[in-house]
Amino acid sequence: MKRFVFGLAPRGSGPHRPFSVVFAFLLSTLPLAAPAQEADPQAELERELERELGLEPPFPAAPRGPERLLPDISLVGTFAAAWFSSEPTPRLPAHEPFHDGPQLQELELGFRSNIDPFLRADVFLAVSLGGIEIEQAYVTTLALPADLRLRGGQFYAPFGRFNQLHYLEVTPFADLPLVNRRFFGGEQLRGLGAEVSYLFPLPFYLEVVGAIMSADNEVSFGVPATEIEKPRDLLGVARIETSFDLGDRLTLLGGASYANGPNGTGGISATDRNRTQIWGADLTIRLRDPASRAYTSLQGEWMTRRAAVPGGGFRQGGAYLWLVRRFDAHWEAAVRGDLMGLPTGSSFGEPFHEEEEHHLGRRLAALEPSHGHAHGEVDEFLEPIRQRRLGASISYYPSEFQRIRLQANYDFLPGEGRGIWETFLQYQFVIGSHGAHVF
Amino acid sequence: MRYLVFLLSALLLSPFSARAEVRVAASIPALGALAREVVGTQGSVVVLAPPNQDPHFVDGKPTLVLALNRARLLVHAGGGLEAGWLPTLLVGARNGDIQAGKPGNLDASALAGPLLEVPEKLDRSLGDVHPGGNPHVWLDPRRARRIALGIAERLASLDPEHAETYRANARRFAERLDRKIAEWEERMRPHRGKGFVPYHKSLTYLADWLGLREVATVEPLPGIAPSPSHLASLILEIRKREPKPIVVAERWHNQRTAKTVAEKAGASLVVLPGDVGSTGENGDYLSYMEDLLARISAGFGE
Repeated sequence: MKRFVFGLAPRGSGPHRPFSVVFAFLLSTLPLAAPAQEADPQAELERELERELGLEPPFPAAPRGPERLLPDISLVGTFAAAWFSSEPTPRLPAHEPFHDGPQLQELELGFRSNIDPFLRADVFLAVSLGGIEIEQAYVTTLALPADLRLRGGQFYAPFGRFNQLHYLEVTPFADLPLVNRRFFGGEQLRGLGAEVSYLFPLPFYLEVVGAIMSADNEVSFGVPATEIEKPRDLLGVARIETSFDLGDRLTLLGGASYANGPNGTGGISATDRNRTQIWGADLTIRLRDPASRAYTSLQGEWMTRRAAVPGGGFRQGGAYLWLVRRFDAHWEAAVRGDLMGLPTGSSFGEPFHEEEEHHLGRRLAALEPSHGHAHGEVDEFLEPIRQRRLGASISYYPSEFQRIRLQANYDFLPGEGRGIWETFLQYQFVIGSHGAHVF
Repeated sequence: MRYLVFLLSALLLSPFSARAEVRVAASIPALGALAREVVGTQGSVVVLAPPNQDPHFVDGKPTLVLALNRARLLVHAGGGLEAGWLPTLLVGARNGDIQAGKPGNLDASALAGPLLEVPEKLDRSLGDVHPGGNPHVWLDPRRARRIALGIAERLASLDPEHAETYRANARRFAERLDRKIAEWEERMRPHRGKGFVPYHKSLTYLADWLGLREVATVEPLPGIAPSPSHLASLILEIRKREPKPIVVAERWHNQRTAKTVAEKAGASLVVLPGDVGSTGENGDYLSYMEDLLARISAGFGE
């Protein structure tokens, strides 16, 4: 659903020689003369003869164009400059701006094509200064019977709204919502596995998705694909989603998601007991202006997590809500509120048992920079218990293929007098043939 | 378990699993209108893009997946027009019949005769160019005629039982259209050779048919917003010309820019109605073209 989302999918993106694409650079909206209209006398005369003699060109005419054997290849470059008024709250050095000064958020190299009439492949490689990683690489069925669709490979888990997106391209902010960062880490919830989805044959849109995948998440789950020994070492994700149109302009989209997988605490032999469960609910309401690129969109997501660790466990919830106003083809503004502590983080049992603490502590310490040890290292499942953050951004699209964004967050730190200001200036360009985005 | 059995039987008995009549999905309203002429009472036509939105920027809403899921034939403009929203919907549709390359996937640009403005070189420094050429073919009724006949042939092969119905419907439409084309050409003859300045290059085929001359465009390159300096030189260019070209914009283009250019250049502004069905009076292809030509004639001062 957008291309919907939003804004970046190019119009003329057929497969073509992508490396011949020269990028019209930043703010190149200098006086541009319309290209000279060169009349082709041969074509003129042909058309004249067609008209006068009632002849028609061969029917049907094959569309002229480049060879179509190359996949659609695209490159999305995202750079940012950041400034933090104080030490930022912990974030993983993935694709969010995380330190003062300039940074490369990501160079995303995309290859997309039908493999044959039955399958298509989508591969996205993320290049950053830390190296190259497989962001997603999956095949999707196009023509299974019974309204089923299968997907296999490495992909973002079908959990909630935000987690399934290439957020740098399609969301109105340069960073992750707090709850997504704290539950799924900087690389979002993804893994190697397979997914089946079903579109109900009903008069309205209702889709269910189930996925089984490796649980090598940085935060909530923790069995890498290389260590899987039994089915319980895998992550299961399920989602149900529905959508309604109220007239031509208003669209509602709602979903509920569930994930259950081993969290890696207590070691590989304890994956039956030490599991994390996450429940989520999301709602998107989008109102498009008549005869215009403009729209207003409200998107909210709530998640709650229960993690069983040796001796006990933790519960915590969080949510975000954002409001986007796209004014026209060029300007967009957005505000976002984040709240961790819905419900407030709490523990059950005795998760801080000394003997077991070692495993969990070591694992978690490896994941997030240490910050505060009020209850020992396991605390990082909870910390900070309550956190609020407000953010606002404004984006300018000089063309469909580049974007400049200014964003400011105020992070109210728990228990301290003063919060932190976070400011990002982000620049993004797209070259090549970048396909449509989902709604 | 009982619940499951109930649910399954409800699904099997659902009227939506029945495919007795042909279901056609059209990406944009003009193609939907042509398909409707061909399908007649033999089936239904669902249009994905609303008539008052730019067909390049349609919201790929999940509900559109439903229409595609149930379609036997998808008619789309092709040429990259829908590249920003249709491919994702096609994957979501789970409908093998209408995937690219299948008989149920009909690219109208392949029916409409040679495309104009095929870029010699594909480069985004030329703006948001479409690799196959300008895809806005449906405003030339001679090409629309071919598309309608092509839809009929495709439907005839997909649903041989009703082949004659589709062909007869298309023939009847083509005959009505031929009469109209002669009438429209006669009416527009006084405007042959006159100039116009479209906001976007969406009138190329209309101009090709009626012999109008595109003297410049409001946006400097396809999909690129005009800068003040481009607008200034455009206004000066229009002022120089006699007779004055008209400025033509779709409803979704920046109306303030279009109006300013027309006012400052002393030209008249023609706002096009959107696509078929955008007003109460242009619900089918013929009335839509009537509406469009009336607005253009009025702009030229009739």
